[in-house]
Formats: sequence, structure tokens, C-alpha cells
Amino acid sequence: MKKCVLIFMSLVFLLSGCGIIAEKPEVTPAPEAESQFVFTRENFPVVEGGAALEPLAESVASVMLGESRESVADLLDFGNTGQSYENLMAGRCGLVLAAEPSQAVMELMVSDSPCALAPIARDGLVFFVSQSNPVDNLTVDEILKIYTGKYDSWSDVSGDDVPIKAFTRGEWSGSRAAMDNLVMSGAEFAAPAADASESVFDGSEGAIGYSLYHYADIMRMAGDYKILTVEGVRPSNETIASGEYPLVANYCAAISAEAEEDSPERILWAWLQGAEGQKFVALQGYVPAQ
Amino acid sequence: MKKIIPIFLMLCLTLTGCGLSQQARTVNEKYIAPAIEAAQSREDYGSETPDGPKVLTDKSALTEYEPPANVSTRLSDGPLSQLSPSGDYGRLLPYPGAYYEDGDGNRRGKYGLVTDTSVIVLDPVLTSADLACYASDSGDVWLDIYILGRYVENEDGSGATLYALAGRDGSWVTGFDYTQALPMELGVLCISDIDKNAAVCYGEDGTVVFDTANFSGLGQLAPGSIGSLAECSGGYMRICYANGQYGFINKDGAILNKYAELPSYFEDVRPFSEGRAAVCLYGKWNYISTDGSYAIYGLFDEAGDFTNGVAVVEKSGVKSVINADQVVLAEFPEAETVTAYDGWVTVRNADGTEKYYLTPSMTEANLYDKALNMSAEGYWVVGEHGVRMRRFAGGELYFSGASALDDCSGAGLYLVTLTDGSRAVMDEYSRVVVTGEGDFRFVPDTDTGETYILNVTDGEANLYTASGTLAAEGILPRDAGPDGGLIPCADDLTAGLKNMRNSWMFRIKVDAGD
Repeated sequence: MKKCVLIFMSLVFLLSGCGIIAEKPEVTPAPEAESQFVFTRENFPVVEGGAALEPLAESVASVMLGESRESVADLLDFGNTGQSYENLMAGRCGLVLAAEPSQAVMELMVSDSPCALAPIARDGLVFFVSQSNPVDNLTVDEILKIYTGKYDSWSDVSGDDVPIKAFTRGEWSGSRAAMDNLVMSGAEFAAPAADASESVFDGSEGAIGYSLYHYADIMRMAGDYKILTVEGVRPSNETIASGEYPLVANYCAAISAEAEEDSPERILWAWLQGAEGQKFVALQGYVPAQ
Repeated sequence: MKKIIPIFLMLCLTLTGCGLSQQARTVNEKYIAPAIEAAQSREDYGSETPDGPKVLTDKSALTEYEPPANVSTRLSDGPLSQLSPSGDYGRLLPYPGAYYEDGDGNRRGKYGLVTDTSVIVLDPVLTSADLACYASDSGDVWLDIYILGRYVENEDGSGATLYALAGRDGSWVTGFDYTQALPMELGVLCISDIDKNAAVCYGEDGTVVFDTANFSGLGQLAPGSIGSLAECSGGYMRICYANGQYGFINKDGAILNKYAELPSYFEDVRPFSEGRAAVCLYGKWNYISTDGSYAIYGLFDEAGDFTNGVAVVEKSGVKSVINADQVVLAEFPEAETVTAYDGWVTVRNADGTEKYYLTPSMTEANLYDKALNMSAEGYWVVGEHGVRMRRFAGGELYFSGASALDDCSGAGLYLVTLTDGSRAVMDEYSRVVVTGEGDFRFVPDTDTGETYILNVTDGEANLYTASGTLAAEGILPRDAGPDGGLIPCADDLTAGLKNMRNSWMFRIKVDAGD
């Protein structure tokens, strides 16, 4: 049916161009061009978010304002997912680009400070170890057992007889929220949550840490370490996009639900979800949500 | 189906481009080209993707993202969790390199140590790494000793920060054995057990200046009083005895006047300042010198520290200012309070009026009979078009457009508030060096003593040279300034040390922990 419509339309257009249908065609008023929104430094919203999305935020601000990445840095504050969502709820920022929030934050966003949350990209939760660790792959169940303390030696997962030193992250962390949602599912961490002495992956022989793929690999923040395959699947943009990689989390754009329809933050939020925004997300090396 | 849409649109474009009409070209520009782009977008991402709002974009300045690169080398492969002492490091500098979450859920920086040739000798395992500094009669004194803090967790999950010391050149280091580390005249006093008065003082070369375990009279001291040893001047430290009395002890454990025919116990004492210490016996205050003898025997009811050659005393309800030779320079029988500062004495009368006297001469300060304000370098008044200051050292300065003088650097720079409420740093010729929002502060280079200007606006800290040039941006606000021209800096993904030309001399990627 749709093909028929198109063929008909082509025919109509062709004939009208050749002057066959009517000598003086009645001019149909052209629809008003949809006006383009123009971002400036004055109306560009305060954008905060997680470290993994800082390159995307820089490039979005760059094309919206026609400035370089370096010159828009003063408009962005990235590196603390939990704080970003808190600032959004408190009205201290206009738009958050970050990993899906933790359940606790999500509940606050629903009950106390309603926010509009939409996925704009996807990423994989990845695990890394030191290069000297012979283990290359873990199953999701093995990861769960490592982080709940049921496995305490790498020999439990066909590795060397070396104690496992599992590093986790603070509760404000975006990758911690992904870990909670995708692996732990309510199970208790055996190791204490990130504290003063244990929060930094130290690259030691028995260490294992986690992060999001884009941050760890594309941004090369885990460049010196070995990223493991999970269930035999190597994390990559392709395996994350296809869903073959088993641990996939969303990156979200969030604004206040009360943001006006024509407010800059809502326009930017909607643009990121739209065709042009999603294409831009992909061009920046992320896996788009759509 | 999706492929047909661009083909159809291209067909239209071809036909309209055959010169059929201007209107067709307009239609092309306005509707067809964007439609192709939108169609191609849907082609890639599925027909369910909404178009989204139309937004003007300009990609001309967008460059490809480049991951940050490390500018560093390591002393050795593998974790560097302990500082190995070596005489080969040269100068060491603390660098921010990681984050941790404190007990209150706040994210804080962790520090490592790096040589000034960018070789990491200690990974970021420290919760603090500060150059030791103490206040002396002549100002702040920086020692060649780092006080290193490290959070140590107990088996029950509780934890505490313990301290170690290291030479500025890394040639010596102690264990993390101390609960407090207090910089002082003799070195750094490290307390291992406050209840048992157990402490060790280390000098700049790492040698033990004294160990309280060797003090023969340790048992006579009040439990938990050892912290007062850091109140040291002229080689003598204030001590508190178990019976509540006070005295002085030197690094050899010798108690002042213990074997002399002079009192060694007092009801109260003040630390030595300018070679004199106020001591109270039988309810009356006098001053002793560091040889233990009475330098001023005035039987005062109150006695303050010597500052710039004078001290404020009170006898029979009358407050006076005396010099080190016990000469009474001025008496203020009507005064409610008399307070000595470095350079002047403030006298406040019962009616709330204040007068200021310059020290040590005690001549009354006056400037055009206007209401005076005092600063570290002189006294100033607000005029019609600015602030005028008369310096203690002589001469007058004028700050045009200023409504207040907020701070003096001691190096020819002055922080003023302008009449519009903004702040500015001016030089002594009233030329604006730096202006802007936020807080300004003068900070010295701890190695060279050179003065820099720190500006903190909305949590962002930048450093400027004394001539107003941006020296380093993204610096970590701290009490100290640069160290030999290098200062800790951080952005969202990296941290390290910048030189005073805003260039990274040492840089590492920092896992934000996010």
C-alpha cells in the first residue's frame, strides 16, 4: 500500500513538473518552515553527569555553540553521577547525562523531585584485571560469587591460587549502579563499599575492578589493564549494540519533569533522543539507544 | 521501503533542478534536503526514532575526542604503595591521583609522591601530603618535611588516619605510627600515644631531636598534655605537670630552672615570644628570659605576649604597654581592652571608641582625622575616590576606586574591594593586576617565597603571577602555593602538576571512581 502511495506521488510530481496535469497549477501554500532553536552561552543549560559521558557532552556543547571542546569545558561538570542527579533534583543543573541511576536515586526522582529520564545510549559493564592475571573470561555467576565473597581465590575460576581483591566503587558511582542493577540484584557486596583504602583499583596481581566499556576502553582509563570477556563475549560497540554482550546498561538524559516545553534543557533533551541527536551520539563513538 | 524514500526525494531533486522554477529550488532547500537527512537518519536507526526538535548546529569547531595521555614514568613496575627512602630522588612533590569516599560520603582526593622529573615514587595512597609549616615571631616557616596521612582500617571496619613523616627529598621516611604530627620550631612533633605522653620530634634531616621516652620527668607530666610541646619558642616548650602547674622543657629533657634557685613551677605560663615568657606565680605575672631569670619583674595582674617589641600588662586595674626593658610606654586607665598586634596596639574605651598606636614607638596613628582601619602593612582610610594607606614602614599608597583594603601580600600587592562590590588586586601604584569575582588570596611559593594570587570562583581555582598573568588553571585550592614553580592541578579525568606557564609537567589519568 505504501509503495503505491509513493509511486503515485512520484507520478504526480513528475507530471506536474512536465506541465501535463494542469496549465496553471493551483499553488498549495508551503508549510511554514519549522524554526530552529539556537543555543547560546546565555541559554545553554548547566550540564552535569558521569565521567564516561564527558566527551559526548563536550561535543554536544561544541556543535550547539560553535566552540571548541576546550572552550566549552567551563559549562560542564562531569565525574560524579550521583552528585549530578542530586544537583538536578535540587535545581542546580538543567540536564544530566549519566548512567542509569541507582534504585535509591530513581525512587527519589519519582517521589520527591519528578524528573524526565530517557535512554540516549547503551554501554557494557566491563571487568578488568592486571595483565599478569591468566584469567580471560568470567561468567556472570562467577562475577556474582566473587563480589559476594563466595569465591575468594582466582583458582575458583580456573586461575592461579591468588587471593581475589575485588574493588568496588562508591554508591554515587554510575558503574556501581550498573553493577547493582545487572549483577548484584540485591545481593550484598562482600568487600566494603569504596572506602579510603580500597576505592582505587591498584593493578595488583589479584585485583579485579569494574567500569563501563566506553570509559574503560574508548577513553582508555583502564588502558594498562586486561578487560575480560563475559560469558565468552568480548565487549565492543558491536556486541553491546547487538545485545550479545550480557551486561548492558543505559546512559540516560534527565531533566526536571517541570521543565517547560520550550526550555533549552528540554529541547536539548529531546534533540538527543531524536534522529539527529542519535546519529550524533553514534558519530561520537557511543552505542545509540535507538 | 526505507530506501525508496531517498530515491523518491532524489528524483524530485533531479526534476526540480532542471530549471523548472525558483519555487522548486526553495522547496528543495527548505524541505527536501532536510527530509533526505532525516530519512537517512531513520534508515540507520529505525523508523520509530522521533525527529526531535530542530536545533541549529555548527560542527566547524568540533574536533575528535582524544583520550588523555599520561605524562609520567614509574620508579618500578607494579604497585608503589610504600615510599622507599632514597637519596637519589631530588625534590619530591605530592600529586592528586585518586579519589576516596570519606565517612560522610564526601569524595576526597588521594595523593602520591612524584619527583620533579615526573617519576612516580608513591602511588596515590595518601589522604594528605603537606609540607610542614609553623608560625614563628617572624612569620610562617616551611620545613623540609612532609607530613603524610593515610587512612588505616581496622578489622572491625572502623578506621582512622595515621601519620608518617618523610624528608622533602625522600631520603628518609618514618612509619605510619602517629596519631598527630605537629610542626614546630624544632621539627615535627609526632604523637604516638597521647594518653601516655609518647611522642618523638624529628628534625629536617630525619634525625630524632627528642623522644619523650627519654625525658626523666615524663611521669610528672599531666596525662595527655604532650601536645603543648609544640608551643615552642627559643628552644623551650611549654609543659603541664600532673599537679596542674606549668613550666618549660628543652629538647634534652632539661626543665628550665630545675636546678637553679629560681622557680621552675608556675601557676600558668605563656610560650616564649621575642625572648620573653610571661609566667604567673602567687597570682602575679612577670616575664622570664630563656636563661630562666626574671627579665621583667612587675607583679602584674595580667600579662600578654611580646609583639613587635611591646606587651600589654595590667596592674591595679590600669592597662599599660611596656617594652622588653620594662619601660612603661603608655598607660590607658580608661581603656576597656588593649590589644597588641604586629605593628600596632588597639585601645578600645568603654564608650566603644577605638584608638590605634604604632609600635614600638606608641605614637598615635592618624590619617587626615578620618576613621582608621588597620592592616598588616599600615593604616588606611576611605576617601571620596579611593582608599589611602599609610604604611608602617613609611610612605603612603592610594588605591583608586577602592572602598576597602582587604589584604596585603607583603610583596607589593593589595587586595581591595571596589566601589561596585567586585574585588581587585592592585599594585602599589594603584594599577589593577587582577580583577574578578570570587575569593582572592595571596599564596607564597613554598620553595622560592615568590608571591602568587589565588582566585577561587564557583569552586574553580586559578593561580596568577604577581604581574597578573594566568599561571595555572584548574589548580587544587590549598593553603600553600606552588612548590618551586609546580602546583597540583586536576580536571575531570586527569591530575598532576602544572608549571607556572599553565602546562602539565606531570599528568596521569585519574579514575574518577564514577
